[in-house]
Amino acid sequence: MDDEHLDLSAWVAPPAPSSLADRVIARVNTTDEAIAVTRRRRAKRRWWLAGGLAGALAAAAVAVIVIPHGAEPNGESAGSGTAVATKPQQLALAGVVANLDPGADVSWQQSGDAVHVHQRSGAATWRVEAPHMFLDVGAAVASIEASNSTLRVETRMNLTDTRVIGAAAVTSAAVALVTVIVFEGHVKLSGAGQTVVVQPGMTYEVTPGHAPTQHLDDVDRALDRVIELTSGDPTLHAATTKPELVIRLGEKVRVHDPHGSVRIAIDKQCPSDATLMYPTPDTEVTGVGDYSYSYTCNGIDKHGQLKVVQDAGIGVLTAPFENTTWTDHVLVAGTPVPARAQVTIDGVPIATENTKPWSAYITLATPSFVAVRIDGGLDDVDYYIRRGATDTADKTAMTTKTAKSYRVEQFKHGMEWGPLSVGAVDATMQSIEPAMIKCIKKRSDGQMLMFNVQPDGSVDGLTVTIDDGISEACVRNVVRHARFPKAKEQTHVSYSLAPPCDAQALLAAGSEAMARGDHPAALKSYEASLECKYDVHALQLTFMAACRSGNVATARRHWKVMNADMQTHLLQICLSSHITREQLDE
Amino acid sequence: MHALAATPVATELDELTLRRAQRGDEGAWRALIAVYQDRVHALVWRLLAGRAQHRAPDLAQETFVRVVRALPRFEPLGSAKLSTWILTIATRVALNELRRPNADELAAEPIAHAESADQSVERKRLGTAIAAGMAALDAEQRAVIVLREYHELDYAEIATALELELGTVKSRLSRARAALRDYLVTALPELGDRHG
Repeated sequence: MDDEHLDLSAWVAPPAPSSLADRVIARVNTTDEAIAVTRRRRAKRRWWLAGGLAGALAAAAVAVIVIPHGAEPNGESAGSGTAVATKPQQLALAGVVANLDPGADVSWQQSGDAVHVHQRSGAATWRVEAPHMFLDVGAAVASIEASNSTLRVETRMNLTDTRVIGAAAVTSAAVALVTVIVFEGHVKLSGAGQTVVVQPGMTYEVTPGHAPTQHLDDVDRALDRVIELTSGDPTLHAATTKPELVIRLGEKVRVHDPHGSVRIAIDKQCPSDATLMYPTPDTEVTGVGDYSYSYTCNGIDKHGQLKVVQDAGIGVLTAPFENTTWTDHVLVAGTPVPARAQVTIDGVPIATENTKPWSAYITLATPSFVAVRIDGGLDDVDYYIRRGATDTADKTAMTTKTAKSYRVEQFKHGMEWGPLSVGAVDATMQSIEPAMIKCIKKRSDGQMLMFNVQPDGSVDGLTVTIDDGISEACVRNVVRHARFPKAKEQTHVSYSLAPPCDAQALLAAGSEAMARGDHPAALKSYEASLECKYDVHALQLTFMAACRSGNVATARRHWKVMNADMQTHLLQICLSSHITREQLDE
Repeated sequence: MHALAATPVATELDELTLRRAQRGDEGAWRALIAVYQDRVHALVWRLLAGRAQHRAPDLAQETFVRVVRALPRFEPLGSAKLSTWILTIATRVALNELRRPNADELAAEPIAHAESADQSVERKRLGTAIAAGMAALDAEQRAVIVLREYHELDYAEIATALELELGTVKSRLSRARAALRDYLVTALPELGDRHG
């Protein structure tokens, strides 16, 4: 079966519902008049466009008490009127659309090109397209001037002063707190005689008799704390005048920074019309934490992720970087093997995309911000950060005018992180096996090797279990001179010289059993094949057969050695055999 | 690879109707939706395989709402065909749905396969297996293979739709095909026997 000739036509999709056009046109006609409400997720500081919410609000049943004062009775285009919403309600004025929450009590008056609104209580989201909307909230607690903007105004009442009138009205004198959230456009907010311009993405609060203050959620406070902490260090303070790191829009970025704060800007690569919802384009300081942001690119909602962690990074720019005396090299390695690596100093790339091994020298005689970018595949990116001038050794080097150099090197195949993988050991053993077979003349059960592979790839602690002393010495000599790949940690190896098994034949037997529907027999053959020769394909088949046989324990054992991608690909097989992910994860 | 696009009506909207649609003519919008609705619905339905396929009509609706709104900005003489542009929007709407913060909360659904009456038992089995195999792919791989195999987008169009580099599209497609083949051979061993 050839990948290029898969016939996928048997998977038939249902037709679109016949009412689709009607539904689309109804929605376009409705929501064009409505607003795009954005909903803020404060805990993780995410912004999402919630068009569906706008649609839902627009579709909600009308339940509003409208008392028009003008000539037109429906309240929507009247020159003035009053509304008290008892259910979610959309109110269309000239150039202004409001989505009123239940309990919102508003009145309005058209005056030339401007609309004057009084929001006595409750919450409402306002989309302002008129030249100006003047909005008074509460009894002169706050006043707002808005044009070409979308904002949400919420009031919190002092319950001791609450008066219920008719359906839901509450006296305006009871407003204790006004919260203004601006989604689009700039809005002027005044309170106690002071005016601030509220930028998109910001939230301000006003209490009676006090000037507006910016509302900070937990993340905001953390960021401010980071700025306070770093501002004491003149080097870092100087560095905050411009972005230290520019990341690309939409990537899943992890930044490993020993100092835990890095000034990040996002490069808007969208061809045109990119609107970043969070962080705003001028929000660049980022402390430790997880950040998700969304943006629109050519009208399409998209998302990106940014995670900043305070560490030196794994396997990259670690101890040798700081403790070196001269031209020590820094290994760029990791797991999985990086697809690409790039080094920048003060934002200037010194090594770019690569498909071959390369190395680069970094000289830190001046204050330098070094970032090593590792592309881990798909959109995953890691940045490893070093600020040259903030490390003691580098400060000394600067003082003594001694240039310090570091070498960054990427190996073609990377370096094994932790001990060697089974595959890496197997590859080396396969290469020396012919020589070992020559030594022992004939394989037999019980012939065993046990040894350690040191991180530099050398062998020690060798134990050879072979009856014949000459053969043993011969095998010992072969193994001792074997060279394994370098790894981060020591690897313990046990290797049997017993008669070979035929992994392929066992796989074929397993497939035959699968074809007969004899899943337990297939599992047995596949497991034997896997034991004979470790192979990812055999692992997949073994797992599938275990699922098909309903053998949860065996499926779980193989599940745990799979990487995440493989688990994702194969999970469905177990699910279809009524084995759940929870059972596999136990 | 077999060509799978099945579009019994006009494959592209005529230029005059497109111009009318761009000017906000509701009748032209209906004509546009009629031409592309099955393709858009099929695309989002397949992209949601095993996740939330009941949402496909909603997402098709969302796609066309965005299409209608953005239509005045579409450049008929530009590099993208209208169908490719619409499918790009549909793809992003579906992927956005899968990436939503609460996407993990979407319960895995039984694998859906719209059987047609004239399908043989064997083809129904194959259809179900393909659906399961597609559901087992990650969303990005599934998007590449669905756009390629069911909608005949070329590599460059897929790269544009998914904002990927050309090489990434090719490698992702290759991996998706291999994973799907492995799944099918395992799920339906007779396929492997028949095709060698």
